[in-house]
Amino acid sequence: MQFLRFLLLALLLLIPLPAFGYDVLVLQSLHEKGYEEAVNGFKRECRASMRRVVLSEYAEADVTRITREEHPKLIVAVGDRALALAQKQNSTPVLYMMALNPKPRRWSTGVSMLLDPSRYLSVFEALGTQKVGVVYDPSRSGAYLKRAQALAARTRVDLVLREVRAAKETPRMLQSLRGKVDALWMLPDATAVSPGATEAYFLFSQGERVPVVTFADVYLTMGGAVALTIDRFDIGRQLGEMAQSVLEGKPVEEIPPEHPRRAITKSNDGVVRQLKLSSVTGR
Amino acid sequence: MLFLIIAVSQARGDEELRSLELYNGDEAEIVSGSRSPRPASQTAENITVVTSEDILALNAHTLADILYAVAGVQVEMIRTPGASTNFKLQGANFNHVLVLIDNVPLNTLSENYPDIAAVPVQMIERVEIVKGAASSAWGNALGGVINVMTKSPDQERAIGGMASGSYGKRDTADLRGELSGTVDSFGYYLSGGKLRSDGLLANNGVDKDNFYGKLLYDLPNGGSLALTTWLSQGFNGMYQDGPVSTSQNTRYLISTLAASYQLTDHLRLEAAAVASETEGTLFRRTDLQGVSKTLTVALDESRVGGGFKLSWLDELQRVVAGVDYEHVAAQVSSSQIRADILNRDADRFGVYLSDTLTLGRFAVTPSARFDRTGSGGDHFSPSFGVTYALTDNSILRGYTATGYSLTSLNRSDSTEKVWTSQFGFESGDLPYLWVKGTLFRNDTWDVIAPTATGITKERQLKQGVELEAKTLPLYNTSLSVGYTFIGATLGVNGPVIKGVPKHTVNIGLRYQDPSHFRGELTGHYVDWNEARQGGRYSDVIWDLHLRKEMHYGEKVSLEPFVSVRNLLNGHQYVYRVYQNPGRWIELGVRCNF
Repeated sequence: MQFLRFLLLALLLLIPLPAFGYDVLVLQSLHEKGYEEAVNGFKRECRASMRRVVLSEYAEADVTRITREEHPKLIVAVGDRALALAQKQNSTPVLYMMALNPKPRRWSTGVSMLLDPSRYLSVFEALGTQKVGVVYDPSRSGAYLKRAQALAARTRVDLVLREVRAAKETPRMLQSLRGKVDALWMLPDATAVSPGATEAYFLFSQGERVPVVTFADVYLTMGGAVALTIDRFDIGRQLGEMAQSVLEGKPVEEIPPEHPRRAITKSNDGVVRQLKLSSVTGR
Repeated sequence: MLFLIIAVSQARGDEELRSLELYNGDEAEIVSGSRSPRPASQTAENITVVTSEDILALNAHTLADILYAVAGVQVEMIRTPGASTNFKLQGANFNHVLVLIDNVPLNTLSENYPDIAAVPVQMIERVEIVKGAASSAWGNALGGVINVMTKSPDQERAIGGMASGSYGKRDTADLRGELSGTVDSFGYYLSGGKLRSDGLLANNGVDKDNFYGKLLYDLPNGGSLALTTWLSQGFNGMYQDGPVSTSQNTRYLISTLAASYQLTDHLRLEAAAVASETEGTLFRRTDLQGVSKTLTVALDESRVGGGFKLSWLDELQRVVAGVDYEHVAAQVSSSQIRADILNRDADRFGVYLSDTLTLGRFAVTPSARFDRTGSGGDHFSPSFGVTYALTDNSILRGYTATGYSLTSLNRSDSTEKVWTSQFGFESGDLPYLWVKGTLFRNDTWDVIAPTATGITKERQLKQGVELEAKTLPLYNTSLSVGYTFIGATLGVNGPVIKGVPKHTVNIGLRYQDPSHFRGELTGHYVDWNEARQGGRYSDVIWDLHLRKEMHYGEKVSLEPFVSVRNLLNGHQYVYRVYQNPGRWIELGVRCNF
């Protein structure tokens, strides 16, 4: 008993001591090349001490317990599963990246995977296309399309929308756009762009001789004309700046979610030539 | 390789995989495989956490069913769901363990008895079980703390909920409903239920109702206000022994108003006001030669108080300091005695300080609390914890603390004391396996023991080992094992204490496939080391729980479930009058919307 009292007093008197805890808990869904790029970008920009927990290395992970025991100042969630788990606790603010379906929460903000719609509208303007067909699932992309329509109203681009609720509806909805559009805008919407329905976009493109503007390089080789893609390393840097401002005392709820600030434009020259489109690369 | 593939498919969400495919096509470079069932806990104390998912897997009705499956806990009577039960934690008697609901003690003031069977599980988000003295944080907690954390409002929707019902032998039924949602800054969580049974054993019927409500309001600048109310009331038959039968009526009401506010970047203030009331009547009926006689004991208790807690978190350390105050009052009367058995109140005051410093791979946590109990003297309870991270996922831990319990408000000399020491190892670095081992030594003194000539105070030494292991899923199935050995003696070299369980074994086999079919087989064995009370405990009790979740649209799901308890009709009881029921089956369905 005496010994305990002595030990306790001695330790309390030693305050403050240099400590080597960490500030940022990086919670990553799994090991994936794109996620690693984003985390590397984050590390480049945010110099805070951090611990990385890759969820796929564990069958179960109790994030509530980890945050309570290790009390990081900030959780950076990389991927949808990491974000969902991070949002189950409410003691530590959450910044997210590489999450396709972030749910709004008071204590979380981040950088989405969706480029601002105005970027795509500029591409359509540069291509000289006016009527642009879009197939989308309102529960996934409704809010994004709403903003896109508001922005399109200020340009010459007219969006022709088709809603789908299930992946199998996509080919039929694309058919309904026959003769009504002079470009297709392919969205990162898991209902509208499923493995089984991807081909239908490019068959439509060839049949109607209209370009498909897409969001990932992988679709250029399938017959897409232009891809406006995200830069994962730069998303990491962008989130790193956000994290830095949170660590310096800015409340998370005062930081609105952001679109990726950098976009990379690539085109399939064969398709561009075939469709006699003006080049948009190098923007 | 198959092992890894199975583990990976378990570990990542389908939705995330679709997102990756969307951007990368088939080229998604996923180099991954689960290598550990779970990360090692970095806390110095010996803590076990039970989540709401575990509770669902066990088809638990009350907190007693949850504790039944936890390594280091020995539940004495598993009988009709909702019927009162006793338990031990690392051999510490139930009246040495503090049970908290929303940080408010459930333990009665008169006997320090926590009625774990009165706590329904629907409102529970997680239960954290701290083994060994936790007086430096909580005061009256010699044997440990069982901290019940309740659910919070669903932040994703304005309204959502659940309705469920189950039915089994002897009209045993558990009906539950739940509503939860958030609108702007205002969130609510409401839960209600009814548990009833004609009794799986003689005079073991149950008829209990419960309600839990939580209203949450988010203040600007990172603060929140929470108002909670929990009510549990009803009847249960305790036992029948020849002409004698005992039953009870109880009513628990706990209300809290808690505020939390971030004062500066580093400093957070939490404040809470608490009111609780416990009422109960015990009926002891004797039927002899057609003449019936009933003795009643009535209980009426209250706690009113509150506390402040300040947390400072910076680059150097985490400091938590706080003050608790409560006014407690208890009255116990009997139909046989004209004067009250107990009629007393007290003002209780506690102040505590805890600091966590991380020094490289070491983390040290010195803590202390001073309590002025108003009835059982003043107590200073220090503790010291240290962890050393061997690797990112392996840890050595040590924890030593003194503590106390007030086993009754009735007697000034009812304070029992402990010095606990726990040394442990936890690792997720072994392939496919998570292991945890703890050596413990709980030295208690001033333990009140009834003897033929009155009451004596004993020194009891309980030493032992606790081992837990869990595997990664193989063919969608994971195995968990828990083993506890306790050697209990009077004094250091005295005789063995009967009734303190020597061996406890918990076995769990969990199956979970991608079609949302889940199964849980649990085995439970306790060697009570107690032959005097007519107990039989040579059998392992096996319980099987199966459920299948079926989704209808994004929000609605239907989940039929079945539980077969005591599958092999085994015997596992320490007292003859508290026998366990034979095999019985329960069917139910749960609807989430």
